[in-house]
Order: sequence, then structure tokens, then C-alpha cells
Amino acid sequence: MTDIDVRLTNCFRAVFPNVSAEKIAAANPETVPGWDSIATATLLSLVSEEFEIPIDFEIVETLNSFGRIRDYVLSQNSA
Amino acid sequence: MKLIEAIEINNAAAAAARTRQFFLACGFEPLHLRSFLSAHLQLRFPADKIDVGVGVFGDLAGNLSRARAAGAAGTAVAIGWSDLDARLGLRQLAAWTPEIQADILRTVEMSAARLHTELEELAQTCPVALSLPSLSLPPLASTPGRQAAAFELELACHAAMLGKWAAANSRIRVVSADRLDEVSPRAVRRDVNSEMFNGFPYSHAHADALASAFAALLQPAAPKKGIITDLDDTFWRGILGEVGVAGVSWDLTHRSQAHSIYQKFLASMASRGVLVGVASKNDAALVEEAFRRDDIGVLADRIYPFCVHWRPKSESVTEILRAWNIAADSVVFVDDSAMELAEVKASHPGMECIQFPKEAGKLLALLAKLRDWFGKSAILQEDAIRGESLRSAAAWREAETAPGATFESFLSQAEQRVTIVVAKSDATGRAFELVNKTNQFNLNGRRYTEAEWDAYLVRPETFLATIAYTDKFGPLGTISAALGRVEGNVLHLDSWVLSCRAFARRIEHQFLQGLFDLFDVGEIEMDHIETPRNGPTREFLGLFHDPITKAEFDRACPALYHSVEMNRQ
Repeated sequence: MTDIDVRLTNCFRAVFPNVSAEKIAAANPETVPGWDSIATATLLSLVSEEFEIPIDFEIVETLNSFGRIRDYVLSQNSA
Repeated sequence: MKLIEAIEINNAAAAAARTRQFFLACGFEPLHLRSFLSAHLQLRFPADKIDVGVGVFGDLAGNLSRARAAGAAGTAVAIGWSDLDARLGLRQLAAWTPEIQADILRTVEMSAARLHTELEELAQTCPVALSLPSLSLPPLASTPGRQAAAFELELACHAAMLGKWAAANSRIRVVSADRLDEVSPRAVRRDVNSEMFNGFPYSHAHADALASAFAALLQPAAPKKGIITDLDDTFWRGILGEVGVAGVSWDLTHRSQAHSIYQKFLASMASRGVLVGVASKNDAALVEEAFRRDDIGVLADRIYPFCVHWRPKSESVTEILRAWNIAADSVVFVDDSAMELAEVKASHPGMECIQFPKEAGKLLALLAKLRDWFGKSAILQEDAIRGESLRSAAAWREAETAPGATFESFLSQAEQRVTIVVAKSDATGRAFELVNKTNQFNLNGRRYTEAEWDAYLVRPETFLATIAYTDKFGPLGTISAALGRVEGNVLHLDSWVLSCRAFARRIEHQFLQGLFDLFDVGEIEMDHIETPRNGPTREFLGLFHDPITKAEFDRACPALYHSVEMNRQ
């Protein structure tokens, strides 16, 4: 697990405390109960705070899984 | 606090057995403000799970009504400009032309009037913490940003008038805009992206600052009771023993005005019931003379006691605590010397020991800290007579131990008068304050939130009893309060406190006598729980069995000399 994965997992676990660490890597709104618009806003705010990156609200709807959010973080860090 | 810390605090409390319900009323999406508020309240109620209810988007006035129905222990209300007129928000697509300004002003006035009505009704059901609009207005006005427009000032005026009314309501506490400015700079409060896309207008830092303020207002810390001050280079500039009475100063001429401001602040605190004592290594006669100077900012009769000698400061502090009969954690010690502060702190670790600054520029920070420690929402009659009653307590002790006097003869000639009032509420708030701050004579140490207090007294079988006391040495005001209920022939006391200023006057005996008489019951049962500090209660209750029967009380009760007035409302 990379440092980014660990930090991102912490963000997910804060928002979805009932989802196990193993299931987070595959998490998306279909697999995680309670992943609604409020959860999305909270999760992305945590990601923004944790990685000190801005969230592009134009593409928020596409940031709907652990993998996609991870890719977004990587793209912002390399930008 | 970071957002993730807030969420983790909230998650960690999920398993708590008891839930405390609060409410956050706002017109925007509550999002992170809810998380931060819950976390800050959680820190104040570590044994419970905090649940913060919210209303619906865009309907602040309706949410105030929903808060009322929710039966919460307290409600935080965050007003935004868009709650007063939606055209003042960023999410409304309306023209910002000069022609609409008059209409906006009319709408704001009407909205403020409706909020006034709703807040007034809400405050009757629970305490309210209120924040007036804390974000800057959008750029509607035609003036350059550096120039205030009459339109903007009139909007601010409407908000301020609502705040002014609310601050005068004893159940509404308004967030200080000045303090918010200090901890949350205005320029970084708004998160425009979040406002437009999520409907949540605040940056994390601003949401945290506002939530922290709300929590502090909804569950305020008990105010401290007394301040002990040094004299040389603290109360005044200079070493009295070296420069003499005329040589110490507190004025502009000697560039020692900071000490005058400190004196004024102490005088103001004393007038509001804060105990002020002096601990100084000095010549007592010189100090007495210095306090006779015409320009002194605190009259000597506002200070009690003066502990002026050459022994360690910690000894003076111990003497003062004994005279006040309060614990070290209710007291602040101020001295310019770091060494003296450390010496006192070592002997009284619970006491806040704070250095008087050498730089005048740092004085206001000291006074702000003192204001936070000692500030109260309301000043009661008892606050005004506290200093006087301590002196009368000293006179009492002196007379009690005078040669040739027996305690019984002393009591019988003390002209004691008690007034016992049994009611369903106490408009002054004194009983609530007493129950929540008294430690030594306290039946079980139980503390109440305002909502818990109200919920207890709304039950038909319950009552609140208070006792006011006076004797020939002076009045003590309302010094005892109890919450109880009557079931058949038994009166149960669920809480009972007696101020430490009123010990050794047999008031506790007279109180039980009064309850037996007023309620005509055969037994009084106490919910006594030992705490680390309620030894005096244990000692008193040790005179009787539990429950106390009327027959046993009559046998064991010593002679009572009070003239008694009883009033059952």
C-alpha cells in the first residue's frame, strides 16, 4: 500500500466507519451503503484537506470510487 | 480542529450509552458545520453521544420551528444574509441592480421580524446560541469596496438590531463578532465553490471557529469565582517598599497607565461579584496607606482579604482560599514574577497562575483571558453582595469565637431570618447557578443542563425549593437550592446544595424542618452520592438515617433560632 493509499483509506474510513479496510479499495456508491451526496461532499472535503489539493467541482460526479479519487489525487500531486 | 479530527471524535462516541440531542438551525446545507458542532459538543460531554439534528435547506425560520419541536438540549442558529433575503446569497440568480436595494431592505426587515418571533418562541424551549451573518455581503453596492455604502450599513443595522434584542434575552447567547474576527479572519471565511456546488458557504476553518463558539455558548464552562493579585509591578508600577506610597504609579505621566486599566478592570469584576484578594510581600502599613491615595482605582473595601506579609505567596493564597472557602480551581492568581507564579502553582496546582505582562501592549490579552474565565451571562443580586457577605462571614466567625460567648447564645442573638420558597421555576437563574457550581455541600454532585433542568421541573410531582438568608451581620441572598418531588408520604430530594458561605448557621436543619412543615410528609429521602468534595454533606447527613423520618428529625435537630417565612407558589 502506498502512502497515498493509506491516507486516502483513512479519509474513507472516517466517512464510512462501518466499511472494512479491505473493502475500501473497491468502494463505490453501489457497494457502500450511505454513500450519498452529503457523503461525497464530506469525503472530497477530507481528501482536499488531507492532500492539500483543490477539488474541481466540475468533475465531482466522476469522483465516485476509491480508484478514481486516488487517480485524481495523483494527477493533482503531479500537476 | 481539522475536519477529519471532528469526524473521528464523532465516530469514536458512537458507542456511548446516552445520547444528547442538539439542533443546528441554518438556511444553508449544514454539512461540515454540523460535524464540527457535534465534535465540539462531544468534547464538552465526553460520556455521551452527541446528536445534532438539522432542518431543511433554505428555510431558516421553519427550521427554528422544527428545532422547537425537536426538544433539543440546545440549538445553534447560524443566520446567513441569504436567510434575510435570498438575493444576498451566491446561489440566487437575481439582478443586482440599484433598483432592487429598497426592496431587499424591506425584505430583510420582514425576515428579521419573523426570525425574532421564531427565536423568542424557541428560546422558551431550550437555550439558543445565535450567530448573526458572518460572511461579507456580495458586491451589490455601487461604491468601491473600500467605501461603505448606506445600503450595506442599513443591512448591517437590521442584523445588529436583531442581535441586540437577542442578547437581552436570558436564554439566547449571541456569538461575539469581535471574537469571531480574531479567530477566523473574514477574508478566508467563505468557500465559494462549496457554496455554489454543495450549498455550504463556509471554509473548514470558519466552520470550526463558529462551531467552537456555539458549543461554548450552549455549554459554558463554570465561571471562576476569585482573583488574587500581587501589588508591586502588578496592581501598580514600582516597589512600594523602595519608592514609597507617592512613588508607585498607575498613570499616563509615569507611563504606567496599564496598571490603572488593570485596577479599573478589577474594580469592575468586584462590582459583578468576583472575589478580589491581595497577596503581596510588603509592609502592611504601607499598603494600607497606598490604598488611601485619592487616585486608587479599586477601593480597599472592594478587596478581601489583604494578605500582606513577607512569608511565601503560597501561604497567602492558602489564607485567602480559606477566607473565601472555595477551591483553588475556581481562582486565578496574577503576579509579575514568574518565580512567585511557579511557587504558588506548585502548592495549588489547580489554580490558574498568570503573569502580569511587562509590556503594556500585552495587557488587553490578559484582560480578555480574565473576561473569558470570569464572564457570566447575567449578574444576579447575590453577585452584588458576595464581597459584603464574606466580610460578614468573617465578622460571624469573630463573634462566634469571642471570649465568653457560647455557640448557642451566639446563634440565638444573631437575628437569623430565612425565606423558603417552593416553586416550579426560578426566573433569576440563581438556583440553577447554585446547583451547577456548588461542590462542598452538594447532595450528589449532579449537574444539569438548562434543558435537563426544565425537563425535571415540568414534571407535575417536582418542585424547586430555595432559601434566602440574612442575619444581623448582613444578607447572604439565596444560598441554598433543592430539586425534589413528593410521592405519597415521602419527599425525595434529587439535588440539594448549600453555599459554603452559609455553613454553620443551621440553615440546612431549618430547610429540612421547612420541607416537613410545608409538605406535611413523614419522611425525607435523599439521593446522596459521595463525591471527592462533598464531605460537609456527608457529615450533615451522618446525623440521621436515610430516609429521615419526621420523628427522628425532631429528636436529632438542634435548637433553631431562625425567624422563618415560607412561600409555596
